[in-house]
Amino acid sequence: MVLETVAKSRGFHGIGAAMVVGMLLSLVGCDPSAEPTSTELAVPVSPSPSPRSTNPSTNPSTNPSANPSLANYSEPLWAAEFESPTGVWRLRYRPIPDPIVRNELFEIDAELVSSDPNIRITAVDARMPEHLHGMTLRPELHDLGDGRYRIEGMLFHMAGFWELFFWVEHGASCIEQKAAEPQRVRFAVVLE
Amino acid sequence: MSQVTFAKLATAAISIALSAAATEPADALEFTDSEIRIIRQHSPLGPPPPDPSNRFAEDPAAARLGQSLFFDARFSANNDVSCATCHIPGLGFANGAQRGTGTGGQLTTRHVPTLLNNAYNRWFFWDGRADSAWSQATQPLENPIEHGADRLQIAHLASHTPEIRAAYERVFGSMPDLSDRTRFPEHAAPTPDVSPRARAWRSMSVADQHAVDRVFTNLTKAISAYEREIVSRDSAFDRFAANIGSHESASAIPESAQRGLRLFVGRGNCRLCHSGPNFSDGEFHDTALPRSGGLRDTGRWGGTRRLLMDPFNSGGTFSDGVRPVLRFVAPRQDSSGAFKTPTLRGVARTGPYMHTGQFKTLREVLNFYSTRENIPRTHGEQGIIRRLDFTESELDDLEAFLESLTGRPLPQELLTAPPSPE
Ligand code: HEC
Ligand code: HEC
Repeated sequence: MVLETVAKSRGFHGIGAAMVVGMLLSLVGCDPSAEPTSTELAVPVSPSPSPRSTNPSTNPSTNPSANPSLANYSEPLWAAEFESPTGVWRLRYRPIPDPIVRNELFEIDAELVSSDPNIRITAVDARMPEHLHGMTLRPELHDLGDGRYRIEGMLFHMAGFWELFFWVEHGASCIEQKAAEPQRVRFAVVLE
Repeated sequence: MSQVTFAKLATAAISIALSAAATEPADALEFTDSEIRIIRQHSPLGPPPPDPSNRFAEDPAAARLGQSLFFDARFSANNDVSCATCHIPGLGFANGAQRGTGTGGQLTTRHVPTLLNNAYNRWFFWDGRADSAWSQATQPLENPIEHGADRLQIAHLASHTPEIRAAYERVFGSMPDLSDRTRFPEHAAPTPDVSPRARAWRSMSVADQHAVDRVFTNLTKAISAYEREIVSRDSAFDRFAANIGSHESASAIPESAQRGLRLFVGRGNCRLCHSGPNFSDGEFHDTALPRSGGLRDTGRWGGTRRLLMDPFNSGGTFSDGVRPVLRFVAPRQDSSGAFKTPTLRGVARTGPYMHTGQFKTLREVLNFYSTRENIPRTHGEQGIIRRLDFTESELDDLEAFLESLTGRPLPQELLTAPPSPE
């Protein structure tokens, strides 16, 4: 799981991915009928490895030396990433610490990569769908610029299946106008 | 006096129960690897987490002063109520009744929770309206149906009483001079009303109010230092968990308790909320209790608002450091009707149960989880708290497991007023 995520993050930095995004931008243009978008984008490109290992020494994302091929990798390792259906933006995140510790405050580093500065993360929250409730706290979202975000005040107080939501808004952009309403990106996280 | 005797009896009863458990020939169940991982999440219980809001939390001199205040009924409207009136040491620092009885025989609206392992809490009260043990303790002192005292009365009493004053000054430095009654009235408190106490408080200068608040909160910081010593750990369950998988573990708790443990971490799903070594996530849940009379209690919903408005929360002037979670507290809709998950350590001795005190025995609590009879139609967590349909022998097993969470008896000297506050 983790390896696959790494591969994607790396490829994403490459020229190939940038070209694809560029192409899509020109294709979609300002035609609102260009691409159907759902308000809930339920499938992460790569779900969080779940259940997460509780033993840090077996988790390559906290112990790079456990896997020689990762030892020199200096980029942050993303837990998961999601690509919008039109390919215009990509969202990825990693929890700090990784893996998430049950019932302890954690933070999230998120990156929204898009050539359109109007596409932004506007809110983050989490729910336990099986329990019909969410977190007991309200997290704070900080926009660090350049598509980078820091979310503080996350707390998964229970073991089980959590859905982590990012709301992505398109601002004044003419790109993906049909999705003027914020889209909700969902990632799955399971804690033991 | 009768409390002391009772404490001794309870202690004796606990040791008899422990030796009975140890001699009963028991076989160890075979637990799976994943069960063992989860069981180990519950043991051992380490020291309480640090309290950044109270720099006297670990000060033994503060704890002795706090212990003496805890048992001192002079800090009440009619010299009739101390903390120990409702938090009775021999009853696991609960009171054995559905409600607490405060000054003048008034009844509290909620059930008296145990103070065992209070220092492990993230939030205090059933609704979490305090975020530190010391800010919690300010409330019963001024609550008209509990101590019914006020902060001026309390500060004057502390400053008049030579041994309390001496103990105070050893820990906190010199006590301000409160002798000028025009500046420091006999009784005053910032209650949100037009009572004489509230008017007297408003007549004081901000600096004098501040001086009194400092004394008041120092005294409650001392109380919370004492509360940190009231820890229930080293239970039979902990001895079982320490050796799980080996033959020694088999004799630590009876087989029935082991089966109960399996239900607790497995089909019963109890460990979802009663998680970690203190058997509580410290957060809030709606277990959909059957209505037991009275007005609807919004629980955490109301508690959140009160916490955020409390000048004594850990973000306030009298705190020595903000607790990191406070920043992220906000009213959340699904918190209405949710109450704090209580610890289950020592639970066999702290009945009745729930914030309403509506269940007299553990069996009644377990029956509630098993049958889900009379639960209100709309409630928050129906998804996860399902009818469990335990058989009678499963109920026995769960009860035996909860019994195994009774910790080693506390040192006798923590259960009564110390010979002196110093
Ligand atoms: C008249 C009975 C009474 C007296 C006296 C009293 N309490 Fe309590 N205590 C209660 C009740 C009832 C609650 C629960 C109230 C609520 O949650 O709204 C409580 C809650 C608490 C809690 C919160 C525990 C938890 O798990 O959240 C602590 C700590 C506590 N009391 C300490 C004290 C201290 C210290 C004193 C003395 C300064 C004191 N109490 C005096 C009845 C009393
Ligand atoms: C969804 C979370 C949740 C689950 C699951 C859960 N509990 Fe509880 N438990 C609570 C809360 C919250 C309370 C306090 C409820 C109240 O006062 O309104 C509580 C109260 C109790 C009490 C009373 C303690 C006291 O001091 O009053 C016992 C005993 C108990 N639970 C045992 C269990 C057992 C056994 C199970 C599994 C069959 C279980 N719980 C499952 C959240 C939970």
